[in-house]
This record gives sequence, C-alpha cells and structure tokens, in this order.
Amino acid sequence: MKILKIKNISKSFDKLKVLHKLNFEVKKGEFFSIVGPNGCGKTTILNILAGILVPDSGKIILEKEDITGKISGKLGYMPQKDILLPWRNVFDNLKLVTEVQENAANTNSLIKEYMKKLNLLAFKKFYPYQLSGGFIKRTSLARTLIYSTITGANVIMLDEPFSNLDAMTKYDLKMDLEKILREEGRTIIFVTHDISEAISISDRIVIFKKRPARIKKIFDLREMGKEGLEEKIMKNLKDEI
Amino acid sequence: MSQNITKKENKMKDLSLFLISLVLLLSAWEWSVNSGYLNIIFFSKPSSILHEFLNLLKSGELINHLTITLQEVFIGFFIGIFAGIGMGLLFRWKQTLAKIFLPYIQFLYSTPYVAIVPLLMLWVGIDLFFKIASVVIAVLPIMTIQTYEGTRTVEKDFVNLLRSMKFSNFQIVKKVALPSSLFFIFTGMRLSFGRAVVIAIVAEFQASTAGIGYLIQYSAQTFDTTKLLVGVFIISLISVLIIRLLVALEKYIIKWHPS
Repeated sequence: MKILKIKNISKSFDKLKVLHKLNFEVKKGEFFSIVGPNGCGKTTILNILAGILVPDSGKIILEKEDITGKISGKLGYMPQKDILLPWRNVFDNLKLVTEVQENAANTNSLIKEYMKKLNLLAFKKFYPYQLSGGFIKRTSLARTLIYSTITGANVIMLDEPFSNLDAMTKYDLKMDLEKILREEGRTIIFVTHDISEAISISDRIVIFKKRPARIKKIFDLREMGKEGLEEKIMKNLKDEI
Repeated sequence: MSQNITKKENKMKDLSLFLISLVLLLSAWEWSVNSGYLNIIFFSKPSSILHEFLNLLKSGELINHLTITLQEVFIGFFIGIFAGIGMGLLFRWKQTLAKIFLPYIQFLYSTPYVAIVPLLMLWVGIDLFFKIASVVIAVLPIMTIQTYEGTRTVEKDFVNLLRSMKFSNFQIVKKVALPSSLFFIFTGMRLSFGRAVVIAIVAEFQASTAGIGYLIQYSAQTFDTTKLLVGVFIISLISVLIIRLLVALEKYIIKWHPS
C-alpha cells in the first residue's frame, strides 16, 4: 500500500534547478533509501516533504491528503545537522517536542520509553556538551521518534543519521535504530551517500541523477536480494559523479 | 579535584598580587602628599579620604546621596533592560518592525549618550524622571541590539525543524531565541550598567541637589578634593561590585555552558 506519493516535483533556487519533475512513491512500512551524488537535491526533497520548502510545481500526497507546500506535521524529520538546545539536558531536549502538542498526555513515560530504547537513560541529566557525537545522534533520533509517536506521524525522514560517527558507534546506532523502526512498523525515508549502509538497512533504494535530481533507478532489495548490489549501484552512480 | 585546587591557588595568587599593588600605591600616594611632592588641595590623601568617608557615613550624608543615585540607576537600568530585551525579541519575531525601527536604535546607540542629557532636561524637566529617562536612554539601545543579535545565534536549520513541528513564531522566540541570547543579554547588562552609572552622574551634574553626582560636583566647586574622591571611589566600588554580581548571576543561570 502506497503511503506517500511524490508527483512531478520541481524546485529551483534562483536559476539553479535542483529537482526536475521528480516522481516516486513510498510504501507503508518500508525502509526507503535515497542515494545520489553530493548536491543532487536529496535534502531538498526532504525539506519539501517536511513543508520547510515549497516546490515550484508538483504534488505531494500523504495518505490521500494533498500536503504540497504545507507543514502537515505528519512527517517526522531528523535533519542532517544534530542540533540540541545547549541549555537543556537530554530529558528536557526530548521534552521540547512535547511542549507544543495539545494531545501530549503521558509524555514523560513516552520520553523514558525512548530513552530506554536508545540507551539514553544513564545520560538523562547530561547537557549536550557532555555528550559524545553518538549520544547526540541518539538524542536527536529519540526526539524525532517521540514527536512522530505523539503526532501519529507514520513516515519518518532521516537525513544522513549516521554521518560523522566512527565505525563502532555507527554500527551500534544502526542496529538499535533498525530494531526500533522495524518493531514499530514505521515507514522510513532514509537519505545517505553511503551505499553499503543503504543496502544493509533498506527494502528499496532509489538512485538520484545528478542535479537537477530525477530518478535514475530503483532497486527493490526484497525481490533481487543484496548480492552484487553494491557494484550495480556504484555503476549507476558512477555516471552521475 | 586537583584542578579546583589549582584554580583556587591561582585566584589567591591573583588577589595577593592585587592587594600588594594596592597597598604600595596607597602608601606611595600618602607619602608623596606628606612629603610635599603632591599638593593636598588637588590630590588629598588616602588617610584623609578614609576619614572623610567614615564621617560622611556616620552623618548619614553619604547614604543619602548614594540612595538617590542608586535609585535613579536601578530604576532606569531595569526599565532599560526589560524594554531592550522586549524590543530585541519583538524585532526578531516581527522582522518588518526590525527593518523600520532598528536603524533608529542603532543611531541612538552610536550617539554619544551623555550629549543627550541636556536635551532631555529641556524636554522632561529636572526631577527624578529626568535622571531615570537618561539612564533608560543609555541602557535601552545596547540591550535591544544585544538581544536582537543574540537571537541570531539560533541555527536556521533548527528553526526550520521546529517550524516543521508546527512551533509558532512566538513559541520559537520564547523557547529557543530568548534562552540562546542569554549570553548576549548578560554582556549587554554588564556593558550598560557602566553606562547607566555614568549617565546618572552626568545628569546629576546638570541639575540636582542630592546624589553622588551632586556630591562630586559640589565638592569640586568648593575645592574639597577629599569629599570629591570619596564620591568617586564609592560609586566606582559599587559599580564594580554590581558588575561582579552580574557575572556571578550569569554563571549561575548559564550553568549549562562548557565555559
């Protein structure tokens, strides 16, 4: 079942065309990865989906509702840059997203639940400057998940969630994240430039052409398996770099 | 633990050095006057100043002058702070207002603020309100600009993220912009307190019958250097203490900062 449809989305910044008639669909409960060369518009499409940017043309349909150019609040978003409020400790940073929600009952237990899932309980009272890069990412991720749970957002967008992490930290976080997201049956749009990362975690991978972004190819990992896939993706990407 | 001990040791060392230099300076001053190298009419001497200070304190004259000046300073300072913070946030929240009014605030900030005092006296008279208004004019522009600039430290990406979570502009200002500008606000408070004291004294020079400014002015006119220096030292000392208090308050409130 399709949960999100992106139809003919185009976006330019002044004369720079970033997206050109972009089309793809995301199925409910799948882990959908977007891979493409640097600056091809991967983050731009996420910003458009979040309602931060308005597309020049095209439509976005989320669960039959047209959300084009609107801040629907129905998509959880973890941007590439991890920004936590330095004057709030981990718990209070997570509480921030609950403070503007009218239907945010029992938020403390929800926050604790996600702190437990992401191994943050021991760092509850730590300020961001006291945290390592990995735990900042975990806090940022927990914030997105809590927000999505409260608002009932079924789609979560993650922009390079494992960037700037060392191999072990990345591995740990990836395992925890995959476990949580699969358990909860969330639909994930995952942006990365790391092909092996995308292969290890995704159900489908879409390759973007270089700017202005269009779809080059979509790989369905459930149908074709993972063997030799990295090579195939690399081959597709090579022409775009 | 050992780091704390080293810090304490360093502080004690700094304090000792300062006290030694102070004693040396005061002794040299006292000796120069007693030996006739400095004229007592123009320079007075530390022992006379201390004596005069105790006399003024006993008679209640100093407390009376000090209360009047501090009343002007504090009322004007707090009005200036709150109005400045409010305006800085308002300008961030409503950018159109910033475009219209911020250039005037910047102009006021660049104007030598003591030069406004005579003009203000013509406009509002010479009573307490005139002195408070003078202090507000010295404090308000610096606080407005500091707060406005402080709110600019909020990352645009984070504001966008909050917008995508349906945070209103008001909520972003209250929950993010105001706390992130606290550093700038405290810096503004420290800078503007000095300005507040200066302008209150200048306003008292212009028109007053009491206050530290009056005490200084009157003493100068009557060649009473000792009394004049009591006024100068007491107001300077209180300014330093208040600024130290502001630093301590800043450290307490912004305890989350790694520094």
